[in-house]
Amino acid sequence: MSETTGRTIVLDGQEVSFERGETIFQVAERHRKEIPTLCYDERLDPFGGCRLCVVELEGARNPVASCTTKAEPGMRVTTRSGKLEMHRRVLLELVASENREVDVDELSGYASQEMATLVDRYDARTGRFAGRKSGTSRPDDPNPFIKRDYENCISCYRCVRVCAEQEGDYAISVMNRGFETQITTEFGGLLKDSSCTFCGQCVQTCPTGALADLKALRHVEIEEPVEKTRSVCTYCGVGCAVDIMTKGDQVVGIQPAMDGPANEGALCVKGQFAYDFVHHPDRLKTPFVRDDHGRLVPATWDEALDRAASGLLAAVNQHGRHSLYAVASGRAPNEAGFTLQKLVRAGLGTSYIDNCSRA
Amino acid sequence: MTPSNEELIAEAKERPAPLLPLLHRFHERDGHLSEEALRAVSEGLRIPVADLFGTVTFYHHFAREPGGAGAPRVCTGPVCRLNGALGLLGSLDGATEMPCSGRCDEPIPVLRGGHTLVGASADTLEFRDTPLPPPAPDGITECVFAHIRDADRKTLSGYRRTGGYRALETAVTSMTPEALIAVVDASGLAGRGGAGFPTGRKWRAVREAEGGPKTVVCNADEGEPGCFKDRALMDHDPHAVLEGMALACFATGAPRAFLYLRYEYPETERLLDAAIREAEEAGILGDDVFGTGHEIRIHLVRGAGAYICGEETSLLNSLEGKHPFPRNRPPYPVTHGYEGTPTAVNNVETLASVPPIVVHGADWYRGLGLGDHAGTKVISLSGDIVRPGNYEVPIGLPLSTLLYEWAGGPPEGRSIRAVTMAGLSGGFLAGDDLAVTLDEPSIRSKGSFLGAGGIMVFDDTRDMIAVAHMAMEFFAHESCGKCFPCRIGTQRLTERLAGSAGPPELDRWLDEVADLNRTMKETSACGLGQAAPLITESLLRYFPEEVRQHVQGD
Repeated sequence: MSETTGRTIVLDGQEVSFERGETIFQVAERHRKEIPTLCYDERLDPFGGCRLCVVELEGARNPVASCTTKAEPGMRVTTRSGKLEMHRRVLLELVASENREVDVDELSGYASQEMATLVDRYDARTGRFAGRKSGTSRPDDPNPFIKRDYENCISCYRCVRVCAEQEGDYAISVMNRGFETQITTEFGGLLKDSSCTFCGQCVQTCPTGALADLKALRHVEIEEPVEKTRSVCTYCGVGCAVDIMTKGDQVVGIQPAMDGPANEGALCVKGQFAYDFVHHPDRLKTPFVRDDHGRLVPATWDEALDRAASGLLAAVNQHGRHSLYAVASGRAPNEAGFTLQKLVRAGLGTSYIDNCSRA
Repeated sequence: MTPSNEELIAEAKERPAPLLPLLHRFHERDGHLSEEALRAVSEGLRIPVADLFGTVTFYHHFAREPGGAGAPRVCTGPVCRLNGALGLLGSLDGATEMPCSGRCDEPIPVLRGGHTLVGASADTLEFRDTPLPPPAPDGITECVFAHIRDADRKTLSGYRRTGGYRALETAVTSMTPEALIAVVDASGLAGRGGAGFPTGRKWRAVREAEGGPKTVVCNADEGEPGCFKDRALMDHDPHAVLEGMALACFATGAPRAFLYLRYEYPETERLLDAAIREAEEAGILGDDVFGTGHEIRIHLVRGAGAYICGEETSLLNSLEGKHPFPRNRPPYPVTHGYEGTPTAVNNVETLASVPPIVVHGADWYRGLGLGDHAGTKVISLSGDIVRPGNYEVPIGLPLSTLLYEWAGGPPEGRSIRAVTMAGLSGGFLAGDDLAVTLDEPSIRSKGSFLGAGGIMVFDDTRDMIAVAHMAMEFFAHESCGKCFPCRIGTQRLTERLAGSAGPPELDRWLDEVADLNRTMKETSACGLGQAAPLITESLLRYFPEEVRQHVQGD
C-alpha cells in the first residue's frame, strides 16, 4: 500500500508522517495523544524507566516503550487501549504505593504536579499494592535551597540525568539497586560537599516534589493563588527566561521557562534562588549621598548624579583621564552598556571600559 | 611490595575495559574499597566520583568497610537453603549471605577472599574441585562434555592430545570466516545462555555490521540460581571455551574478546588466566594465531556480584565501567555493543559447542537432538534428586527420563512435587506438566521456558510458598532499579509471598498478584522483570490450595 510513499506510520488508525530519528512518542506528541510519562523530560536522552508510555506495536510480543522506540516506516501503533490503560493504572498504583504522599505543594517545583495529575487521571488513588515505602529522606542536609525528600522519590532518575546531561556537574548518582535504590551524592554526603552548583535543575524536573524548592516552600502558608509572570533574569547577559511566581504582592519563587529561547529550562543558582533582594528591608529605594560628616543620607537622583559627575571630573582633572576605569554591569541592558562606554570614551576620554560578563 | 595507587592505575590503563579489574586490585590490596581508593580511581580513569560511588554500590561483592573483602560469604540460594545454609551462615563469624553462587551439586559453597570452600557445616569446610559431570548413559553422544572427563583435559597439552584447537587451526588455515559461519548456521546451534538466538545468524550480523573493531564477549556471568554448567565447563575444559571464543573472533572478524566471569568463581579466574597465557605462549592466541597473522586477544574481566550483568546489555555497560542498567534495544549489540562496536555476546556453553561442531560437522551436531530438535543442552540438575549434577541431554529428551533414569529420581520414599525451569526464571512445573520434553516448544507450551537449563527439584516435603518466596526475594534483590514494574513489582510480590503485606482477603490478594504478574510480564524493560512473575503465576496454577491457606492463614 504505502511501501514507497516514504516515512509514515499508522498511529491509532491514522497514517502520519515522521522525521528520521523521531521516536514513536515524539510523533504521538505532535498528534496530541497525551501519552502519560514520568521519567520523560524532552531535554534528556530517553530512558525507558517508568514504562507508562508503552504502546502497542503490531507484531511485537509485548507493548514497547514509545519514548525509546524509533519510528520505522510501516509501523502500526496503538497509543490507547484497554490493556495499555490497565498497565498504566497498575504502574501508577505501584509508584503511589512506595511514596509517603502523592500530593505536594505546587511551589515544590516546575514538574512537581506530574505524578499527582496522572494518579488522578487514571483514578489510581486506590491504596492497592500496599507495602514497604522506598527511599530515605535527608533532612540532615542543611542547604537552604534544595529539599531532599526521597521518601517521595520514584527512582525516575530525571535529577541524576539532568545533572549529568544538561549541567555536566555529575553531582548526584544512583546508589544501590532495585527497591533499595537511592539518589545520592559521592559517598552519601551533603550537597555542599559535592560538585553540586545548586542550579536547581534537579528540583525543576522532579515529577513528585521529592526534590523541592525550599525557598519557595517558605510561602506555602500564604493563602492567595500562585501567579506566574514571564520575565528575563536580570543577573547576566545570557537572558534566561524565567517565570516569577507571586502570591499577591509577594514574590514566592522563580521557575525557569522551559521554552526560554536562551536557556531552554536551565538556570543557575543566582537566577533560580537569589531573589530575596526584592523584598529585603536593606534594599535601596532611593539614591544616597554622603553629608559633611560622611554619613549616607537620602537624596534625589539629580543630587546624586551631580555629585557623581563632579567627583569623576575632579579625579580626571587631578590625576589625568586614565585614572578612571569603568565596568559595566552584566545586569544592565545593552543600551545602558552602550551609553556607559560612550560616556567613558567620548565624555571622559579613556578607553578603560569593560563588562563584568566578560571576566 | 604493595603496589601504589599510581602503579595500579597505570597498569589498568594499559588494558581495555579497565574499571572492574582496577577496582578488584584495590579491593584485594586494601581488603575493601575505601573512599580514598575510589577518589584515586575517579581521578585516574576520569570518572565522576559520584557516578563511580553509585556504580560500586550496585555490586554486592564490593566491600566498603575494612576487612569486608575477605569476610566469608555463604551461598543461601534455593538449593543451599534446603541443605542448611542458614545454619552454616549463623555459625561462621562475620559471614554474610550471597545469592546462589553456582555450585548447587554439593553443599554448601562459602566464598572467602579468593577461595571457594565447600561443606555442610563450619567444621567440614574444605577446598574441593568442581564436580565433574556424571557419566552419560550408554548410547548417548555428548558434544561439550565428550572429552571433559579425559585426564589433563584442562591443560594445554592434555587438550591438544584429545583433539583440542584442531578446529581453530583448521578454520584459520583453511576456511573462510563465511564458511565457518555457514557450518555453525547449518548445525542449528542457538544461544545456550537461554535466549536461543541462532549463533550463526548472530555472527553473520556482526561480521556484516559496519564499524569496528568488532568484539566478542563470552558471557560467563552464570548468575541464574540453580545453574552451574558454565563453571564445570570452564573448570574442566577451559581451552574449549577459549577455542570457541577464538573461532567466534575469526568468524566475526574481531581482534579482541572479553570473557566476563562472575565474581563467585575465583578459582576459575586463575585457571582461565593461566590457560590464556599458555595459549598465547604457544602461538594459538595473541597476534599471530597459528602463524597466520590473525590477531585474537582474550581479556578476562571479573564481575563483582550482580545477576543483571548476565543480561547482555547490562554486561556491556558493566564492561565499559558504566552503571550496569540494561540498555534500551534496539539498537542491538550486534551493531552497537561494547563501546558502540559490533559485538557478539555468546554464552560459555554456546562457544564450547563450536569446536566439536567444526571438527565433526553440522550434520553430526544436528543429529544429536531428538526428533526435529538440533543438538544438545547441558542441564544443571539439583535439589531433591539422588544424583545432582550437570547432564548434557539431547534436546527433546523427556524430562522424566532425565529425572528418574539418569539422575535416580527423588530421595527414597519421596516424590517430586515441582521443579523449576531456567533456574528460577521459568517458574515451576508440576503435576502433569512434568511430562514435558527438554526443548523450548514443549516447555513454552506450559507457560515456562528452558532458558539456561537449570532445574531444581523440590520433593513432597517442601513448602512451595516458602520456595516461591525465596525465589521472588532473589529477583527483588537483583532487580537493577531501572524500570518501575520490576523494581516495585518484585518487592510487592516478595512481601505478599512472605505474608508481610497485601490484602488479607483471598480474592483481593489474587487480584493484586494477577495484576502484578501481567504488568511485570508485559511492560518490564528486560528479561528479569518479565520472567520473575512466572514464579507467582505457576505457583497459582499448580498450588492454589497452598496459596489460599497462605493468604487466609488456616
